Amino acid sequence: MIKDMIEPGENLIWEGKPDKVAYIIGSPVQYLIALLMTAGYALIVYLSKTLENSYSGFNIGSAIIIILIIFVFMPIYRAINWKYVQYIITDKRIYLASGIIGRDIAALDYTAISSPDVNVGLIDKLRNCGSVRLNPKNTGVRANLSHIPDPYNVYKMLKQMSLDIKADIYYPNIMRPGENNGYNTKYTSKS
Amino acid sequence: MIKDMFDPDENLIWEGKPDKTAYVVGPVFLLVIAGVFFIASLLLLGFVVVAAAAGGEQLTIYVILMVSQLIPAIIMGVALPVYRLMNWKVTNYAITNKRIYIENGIIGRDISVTEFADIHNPQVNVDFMDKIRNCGSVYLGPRYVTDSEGRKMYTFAPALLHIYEPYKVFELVKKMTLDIRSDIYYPNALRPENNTGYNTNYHPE
Repeated sequence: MIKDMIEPGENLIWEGKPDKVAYIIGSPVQYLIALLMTAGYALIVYLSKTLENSYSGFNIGSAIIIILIIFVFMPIYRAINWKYVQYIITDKRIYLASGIIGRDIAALDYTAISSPDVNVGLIDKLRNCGSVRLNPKNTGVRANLSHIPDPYNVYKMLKQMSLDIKADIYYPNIMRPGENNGYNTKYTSKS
Repeated sequence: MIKDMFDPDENLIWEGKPDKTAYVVGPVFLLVIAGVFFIASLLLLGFVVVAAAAGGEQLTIYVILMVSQLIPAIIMGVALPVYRLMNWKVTNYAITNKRIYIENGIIGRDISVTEFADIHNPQVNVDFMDKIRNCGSVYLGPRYVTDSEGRKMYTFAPALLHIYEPYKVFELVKKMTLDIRSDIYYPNALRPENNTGYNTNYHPE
């Protein structure tokens, strides 16, 4: 599906998808937050009973719902979504495909990539994978190549391509002189 | 690790890492807040325990409440410095002729790059601990932005934190930013010597 989006003059450079286990587990921080929230609920319920407070707006049912969402429903959702997640890097842009109901495809131009980084979390470390975050500027979009194998090499390739292609869009690299002696143009105002 | 990420024709211009003490201590005002919070919470805890004991009440609830109040102070005063101490070992900075690298990460090595074309309004900041340790931080963007109602918002701009000779590094960064950014847009070697202003007429069809 995603390859159908590639233009005639566009060349595939890399394609991949997330590591299944790391993708389904997701970020360990969310589990920690869920557990802390549950502990908070439990404490409030305990205190409200101990203080014989007639009002008890919090109950353990809310905590169970949060635990179910974080520990069961979200991993199931990611397990289903994983089948459809696919990443492609071409010489013109980066494609990110996902979506359970319909195929959602996002195309990111190299000029939109800003300060990319590579992140290897606990699960990534165990699974020998990592995430390359593309941080597109001014788009408000989160574009990550999540939990991909060989993340450092993909990152290295992407940051080089980002600069090379962005620079070429502004001015053809093939026409550039070999040296840059700095910006030395003098400004002479008309007035 | 950073050097393994370099492009084939990329040259190292500067490298460094944060001053250990300044980096681990972090913002001094956070420590002061943590200290004040900790002492206030301890005093309150003491009063509550004494009052409850005198009244013969059950102490558990009050102790749980007061100890939970100590948690933010413990995080700011102990957990964050310990985290930064572990992170310091793996934090490295490098400036090349193409971009700026920041490496850190306790579990896995996390690397981020900022291209010169993406750097705007760099800043150098020397706080109290930096002054004592003779170091400072170079931010690759504004530290704060102000919204339409005048509220300051922290930007989380990438930064070379608590490095030695911060003013020299700042000078290097701001010069390289203009030189390389302008060269990316149009080669500096092909530019005329003078800029007589933008005089192009606009005639929409």
